[in-house]
Amino acid sequence: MEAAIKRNQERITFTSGEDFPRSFLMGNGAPVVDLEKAVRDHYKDIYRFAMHLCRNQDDAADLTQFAYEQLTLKHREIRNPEKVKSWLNAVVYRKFIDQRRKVIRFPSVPIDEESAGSDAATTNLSGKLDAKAALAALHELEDDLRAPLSLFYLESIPYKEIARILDLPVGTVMSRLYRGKAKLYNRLTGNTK
Amino acid sequence: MNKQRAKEILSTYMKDSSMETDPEVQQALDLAESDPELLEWMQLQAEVDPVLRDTLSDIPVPKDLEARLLETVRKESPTVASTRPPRRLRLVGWGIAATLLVSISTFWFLRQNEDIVQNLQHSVSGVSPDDFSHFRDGMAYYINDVYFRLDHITKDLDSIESWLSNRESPVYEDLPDALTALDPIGCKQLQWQGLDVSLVCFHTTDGRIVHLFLLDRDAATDSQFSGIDAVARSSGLETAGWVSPSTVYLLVGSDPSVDIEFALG
Repeated sequence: MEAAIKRNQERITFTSGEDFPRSFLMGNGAPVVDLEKAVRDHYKDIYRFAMHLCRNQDDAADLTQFAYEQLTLKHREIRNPEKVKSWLNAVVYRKFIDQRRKVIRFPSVPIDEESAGSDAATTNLSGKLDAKAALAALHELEDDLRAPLSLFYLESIPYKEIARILDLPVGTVMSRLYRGKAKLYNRLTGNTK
Repeated sequence: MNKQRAKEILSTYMKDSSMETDPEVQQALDLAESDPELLEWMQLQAEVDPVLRDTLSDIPVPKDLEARLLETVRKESPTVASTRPPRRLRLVGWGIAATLLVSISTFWFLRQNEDIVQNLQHSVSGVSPDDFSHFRDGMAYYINDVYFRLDHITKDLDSIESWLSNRESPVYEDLPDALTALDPIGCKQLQWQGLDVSLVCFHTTDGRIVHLFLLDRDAATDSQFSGIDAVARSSGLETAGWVSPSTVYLLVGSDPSVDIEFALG
């Protein structure tokens, strides 16, 4: 399936679960990505994003590993080495979506138990917000809300860049950020509306 | 701007970012100052978002992950830019190769099928050696205008003699010493006006080629070889011959610059 977004007149196309935004890519003559630097500078954030997506340490590590394997194969095609982190995030997200489709298609694959919990999200807003509760509340959100929120919180990525990474229209990202936050705040404040 | 739209815009808002200069964000911020619900939303964001940001960033990362990833990227094969030529160039290359292959095949086929080539030549020029009533002119034309291959290639004159003899093709009796001193190249059987003709080729000392045609005297009429002992040009080539009791001989140079008189003895 081909999904596409427009950003700054630039069309970004995913052609399959393992393809990447072509706007990140270019031919020969581009500055070369320093692979080891890309590991040292970004691996923690990439892993954390993967962790918030799949909520499982092993799966997150696998997703991160996959992203860097792809980077190793395709780094010469990356148009702008400064965007390598966004590129890695995009790879992680596409792979996660791909895997999630398979889980849905073959439900015998267990989804991490952590996502099933619902009683962890209690908090005390008059004092300090319970970090564990906040994390649990985030992890209870649906995938399509959790992904943009994770990027927003984890890496302070502007919503337009989030749209680019997730291959979504900017308006959709804005809407999902709002809905995600609303659900999160309601859960953290105990507001059930 | 309605309240819902303002909330969506404010949800994307990050303090101290370039968003503050965005007129739509500014409008939403202004609206929030006068709207209690939006104000509450902003306060909630201000309280919760930093905590979430810190919390999410505190997720522990496996200790060995960095090493594993570094190992992964170090495994990259030291490939350089592809040496494969561009697709267009490859297509041109394949085209040239195919053309060469077809050309070579055609050339090889034609070389193996002398009759086809001669028929082609005949159909193009409309002339064949048989059209000449005099042995000299027919053979000179043959050398000058007809593609042919030798049937038997050897430097041994005795071998040539026996090869021709075995095929009942005209054979020489006595050759001038000047001819026998040359290096033979080989021989060929051919037909001219229904008569068997033998062709024997020699390399001259200066690397040129002379051709000796042999015709059974009894098979031919006198008019076909009359005056053959005179040196004369035919088809631009120097020609001259002699007649023995059983054989008519005709010597023809391979090109206009070849002098054949030396061989006549």
